[in-house]
Amino acid sequence: MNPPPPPEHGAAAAPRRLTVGDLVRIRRPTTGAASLISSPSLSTSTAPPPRKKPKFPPAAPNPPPRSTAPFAPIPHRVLLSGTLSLPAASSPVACRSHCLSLSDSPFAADAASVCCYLLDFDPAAVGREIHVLAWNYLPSVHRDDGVGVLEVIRWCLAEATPALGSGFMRTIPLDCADADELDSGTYGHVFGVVRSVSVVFSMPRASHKSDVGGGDPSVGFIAEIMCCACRKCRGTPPEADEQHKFEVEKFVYFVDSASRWRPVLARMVGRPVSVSGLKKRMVSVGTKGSYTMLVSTRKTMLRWCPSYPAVVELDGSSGNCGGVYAGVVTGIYMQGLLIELDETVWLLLDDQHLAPSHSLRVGAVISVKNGRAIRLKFAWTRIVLLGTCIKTSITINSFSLVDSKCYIKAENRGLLGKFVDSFELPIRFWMLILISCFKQKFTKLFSEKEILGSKNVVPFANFICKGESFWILKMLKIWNGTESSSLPGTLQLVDATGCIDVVIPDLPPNINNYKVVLQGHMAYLDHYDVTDPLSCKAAFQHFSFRKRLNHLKIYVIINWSELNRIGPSSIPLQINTCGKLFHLLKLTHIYPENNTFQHKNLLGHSLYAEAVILPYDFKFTERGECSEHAESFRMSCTYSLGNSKVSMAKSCDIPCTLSFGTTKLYGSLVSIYYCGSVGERDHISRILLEFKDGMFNYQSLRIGGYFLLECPTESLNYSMKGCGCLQGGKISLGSQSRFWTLAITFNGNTNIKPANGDESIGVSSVKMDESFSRKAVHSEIKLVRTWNDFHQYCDFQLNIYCEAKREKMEKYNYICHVFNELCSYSNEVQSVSSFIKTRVPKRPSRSSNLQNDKLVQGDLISLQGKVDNIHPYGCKKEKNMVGNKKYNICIHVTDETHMVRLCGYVSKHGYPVGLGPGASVTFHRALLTHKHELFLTPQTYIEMSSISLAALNEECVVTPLISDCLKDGSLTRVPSCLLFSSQKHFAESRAIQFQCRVVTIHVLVLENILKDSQPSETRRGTINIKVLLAGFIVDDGSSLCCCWADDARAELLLRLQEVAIPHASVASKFSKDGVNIKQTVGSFLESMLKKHKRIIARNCGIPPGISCHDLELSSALNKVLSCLEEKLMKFIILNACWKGTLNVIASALNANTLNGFNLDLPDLHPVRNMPNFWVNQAFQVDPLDEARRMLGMSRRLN
Amino acid sequence: MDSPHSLHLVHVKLLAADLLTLTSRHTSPPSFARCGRTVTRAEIVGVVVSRDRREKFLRFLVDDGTGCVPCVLWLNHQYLNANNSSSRGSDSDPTAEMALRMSEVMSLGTVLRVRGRIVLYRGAIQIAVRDVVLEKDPNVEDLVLLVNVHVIMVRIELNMREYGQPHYHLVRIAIEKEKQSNQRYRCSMLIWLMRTEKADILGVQP
Repeated sequence: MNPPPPPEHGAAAAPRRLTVGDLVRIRRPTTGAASLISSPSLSTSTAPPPRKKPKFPPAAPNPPPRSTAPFAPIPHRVLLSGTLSLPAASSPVACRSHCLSLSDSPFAADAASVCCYLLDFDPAAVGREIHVLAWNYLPSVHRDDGVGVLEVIRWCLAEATPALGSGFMRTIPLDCADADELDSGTYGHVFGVVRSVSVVFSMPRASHKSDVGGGDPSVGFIAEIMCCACRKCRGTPPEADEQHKFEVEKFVYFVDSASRWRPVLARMVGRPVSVSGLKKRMVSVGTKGSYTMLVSTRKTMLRWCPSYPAVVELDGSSGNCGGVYAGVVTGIYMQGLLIELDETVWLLLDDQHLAPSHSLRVGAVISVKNGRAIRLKFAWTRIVLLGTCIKTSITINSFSLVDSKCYIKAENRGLLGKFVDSFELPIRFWMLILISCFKQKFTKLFSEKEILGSKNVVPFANFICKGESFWILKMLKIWNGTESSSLPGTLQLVDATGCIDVVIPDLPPNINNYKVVLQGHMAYLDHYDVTDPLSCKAAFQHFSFRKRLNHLKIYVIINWSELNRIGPSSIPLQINTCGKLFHLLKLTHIYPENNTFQHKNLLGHSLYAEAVILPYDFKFTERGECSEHAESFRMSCTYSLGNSKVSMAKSCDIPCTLSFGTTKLYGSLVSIYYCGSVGERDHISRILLEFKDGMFNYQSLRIGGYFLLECPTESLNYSMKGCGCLQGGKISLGSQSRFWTLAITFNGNTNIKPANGDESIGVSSVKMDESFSRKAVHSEIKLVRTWNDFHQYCDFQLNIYCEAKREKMEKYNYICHVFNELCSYSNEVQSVSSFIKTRVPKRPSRSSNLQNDKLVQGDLISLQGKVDNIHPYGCKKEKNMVGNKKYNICIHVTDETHMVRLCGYVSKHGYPVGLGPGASVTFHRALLTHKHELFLTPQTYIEMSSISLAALNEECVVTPLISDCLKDGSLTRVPSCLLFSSQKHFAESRAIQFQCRVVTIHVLVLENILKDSQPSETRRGTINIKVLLAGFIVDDGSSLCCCWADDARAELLLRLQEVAIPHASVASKFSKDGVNIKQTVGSFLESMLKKHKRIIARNCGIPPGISCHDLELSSALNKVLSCLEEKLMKFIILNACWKGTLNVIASALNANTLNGFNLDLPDLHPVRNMPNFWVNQAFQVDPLDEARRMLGMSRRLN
Repeated sequence: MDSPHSLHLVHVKLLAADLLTLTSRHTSPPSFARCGRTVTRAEIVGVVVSRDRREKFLRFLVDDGTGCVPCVLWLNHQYLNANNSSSRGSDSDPTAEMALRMSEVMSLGTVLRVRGRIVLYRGAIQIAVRDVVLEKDPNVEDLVLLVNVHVIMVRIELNMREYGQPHYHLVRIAIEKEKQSNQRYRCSMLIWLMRTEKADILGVQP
């Protein structure tokens, strides 16, 4: 029960011995080894203290190994030994075909045996004691499965005694009864290469005459052996020096007790064996005929040739069960039915006994012999499928330590399983995918009955993720079996795993052509790691959709013409004309979807719009009939038209027609105000329209459009307040409300030309829109119709016409005037250019007060243009509202001549589908501040006119980020290769750090700092020279600059401290006095400077070239430098130029500062233009630190 | 004349794959271009995988994991100097001595930082070595690769600061570019950076 006791610390020499009995008491997956490479030395009192600061305090003696790894390692050395034999009858069923048994000496007190699987199996080990040097132990989870399984990674024979038999063939000591009494003459024998071995199977025994219908079924397996057909081999035991040709195929049936030999024979596949003591039997296979088969007897012996090379002759041609595939198990699915290898190949494991199930874990390396590989091509992916058959054998090449879970369940097949088994291999695989997909896709939506018969199985979650990862724009038809849903404003296709927004740009008949649009940032670029969501793996893995939901906005653009199943589109043209009033409304604004409104309404989403009520109601002129073929309706209006500006005491009767299609109905407009009751007159005011349950086609709303609302009440009160439609300044519209779009024309003309006719009225954006539509390219998807189209396709056309009577003319002119006035209630939509031309800053009157409150003041305007770019804006963290995320974004809008920026928060819900580069957009009620800045406000409605397909195809649709953006923090460290190419870094005076290498030396001034009297010994260890000034031309990989330094910094750059022995000729001259030859360059210099006091070196060569000929050396004392001294100086300079990278902290230096040194600097063109730096510090580069810093730096920047 | 910020004078830190795929312009002497900028000198870091010492030169191959760059280190300075009658002490030029010493140190398997001029030899790009530094820390190689990717990242970053471009968009472009030029090593490095350390800077939620 307990883990093995801790080791005795002193006895480090010999590993602790472990018996099988000890092993089986371990209750968790454990690994052990006879030698541990990094065993901690615990008794180290005499050992030197560790150089580096230890990371952990000295551990308590033998801390228990705590790890989350599936296998717990035994911290000390253990040597497990036991006798290897054939599996015991008590070993698990799954093991009997593959495993051997390791057992203690039967004389031991608590002798036990364990099932074991050996890597590098050697038949010589069977029946002998082995030392297990490295192993994994997997205790069985269920008690009744036996004790567990030992996975032997390394082993050796306990004694190196020769195995039984000698010479060419060696006997494998299996439990043959009379092994010694072998008489090959009596019985048949075969010699050949094992080609395949079947699994152990049981077969009803043919009824004997004596034993009718009785007896156990015979249990055994068949080995296919390719035998040598030569005469010698047939007669006598084979010999080594013969050239065997294994050509004759023979089947040997190992039955009864020999059936236990399968683990040995399975590992002999591809190797030559000799089986003797066989008898011949005729086997009849149904009606197909009978074959001769060799059957094992009690005298059967198995022998093998240790010296004979393994002959692997497997028929790997496709379609045949003869291929060999070795790979890493990367996934096990469907209870072990499917095994994914190397993330590419799928192994369909028909028979659970084909492989040692316990070792078939994720991470193990297995080889499949005699498998059948086929390529499968599905509509969305291609895979390689590895089928198994009776010949297939699966062996483990390497055990898995990453996983201890055994996935493979013992045979417990349901009906479906058996059904699936009856299929051909590819269909079988397909069925498994199908089952798995169905499980995911329809768990909530459909009953099993409904599932059957569907053609389309890819779960949406996988589909969406596929899109996210690969930005695919094409997909298989997935529309069958979907539903349209309920989110307002968008139509969605939904299944149990996900949903897709659908944008329908046109209405009126089968989906062949559509585009999938993905908006968002690239979260799934890494297809090296993320599983292809449309891969078979994903189908089996049960993909988590929720986790990935928020990354991308995905929608499909389908023409309505392509849709045949979605949406109720009954155009409500059944107007009952009986005594009904129809209110006229003009939409002035649409509020963006906003969750702050929504969460108050628990019953459902509401959408809001703003409208003005027209001071006229529409009424049919005659009652009592349905409108369908009505020819003339006329209603006399007995009320006078009233208005705040014009008072008409007379009754108004403005004739008009309401038409749809070819039907024309006559009616008249009735003023909503009573004649004469001027005092009670309502003003034309803005009201709120509430679209209650979201079923309304929000997309048909259009700012500036007219709408006709059937008054549900029977009231004769024409005002909306009076009739009860308007309550609390709000008109609530539900699914029962009758609300239609309306086009109002004056004498058949959309653009009203009033009597006074000085200005063109009507919707100002009409013109805009037309000019815009003309520019519209073919590669655009229009989401909003042009105004002409809008009018044409409105539910109704209301035509107000002018009768030739004078009195009527006045009314007509008046009504035109009223409609003209309405235009002021909605903003004129401006183009970017016109906006730029007309924006006039309006100074706020009380700006001082308001500035303190940080309130932004300005005008609300409407702006139209094309989106050029969208990116995150500002540095604040995103604001989290209740259930609503807001993105702070900046949108660049252009009209090809000018560009403006709009910034502000857009809620996730208010973010219109399709907003991305290339989209034509109208921003309604954007805020123009007095500082000429444009902001998006919570009121701002973004109307999408069109989506650019060109931009979509470029896969560069950009949506706001949900992330922080960079702070304005400064770069203190300049990244390599960008230092000098980015001017701004050295324009600043503060110090910067960069990496560079010295290319050449510009100027070098060296000085002796020792007084003549001072003995050099007192300053031993340091160099008694001073670098007065040194100018280095350094190279950071992007440009050159001049770095100036003195003293120690210059010494480091010159590398004076480094031990560098110049050429022998120089060295010998300078070390005449027998000083240690290992002198530094600096010490040579020291003696030289004693003589010259100061040496100046100038480089007249053009950097980055370095040549000794360009070096000008001069002495302060005007002494001539000797040839040797000159050489030394040159050597020093060259040495500095031949060194590696340094970290330099420097600040910008004004070139004039150098004048103070009174130096005659070489005036070279490239140097003149180089930036100058003063080196504050120089130090070596630690690559590891540097790499870590580099990764950390970007984080800090953020 | 070259501007001070030209790449003409500098030793551009290149990966072997990049160096070997420079486009050569048919000028005399041949010049090379990368991303539209002239490159005449390069610095590479890698392991010496081949070494061929002749009397006048040492030819060696430096492998940095992305490719093998042929390099030549001339050892015939003394001959050159012998012709140059004006020089003093030409019998033992320090340049020649240093080159000789370097050729001795440079053995198979050592990690080197090589600087030099890019030349064409029999139509193939090679480096005429100016200097060689023996790198003792094996981490240098990884650092070089990291720096290479980092440069891309920083460029993206600076670009973003200047133009207000969304970063992921640029990274995407960078990755696409790398993909197009078949630079899988950098592409995968970028992707790796995006996924791990750089996820936040790229605006990608890990």
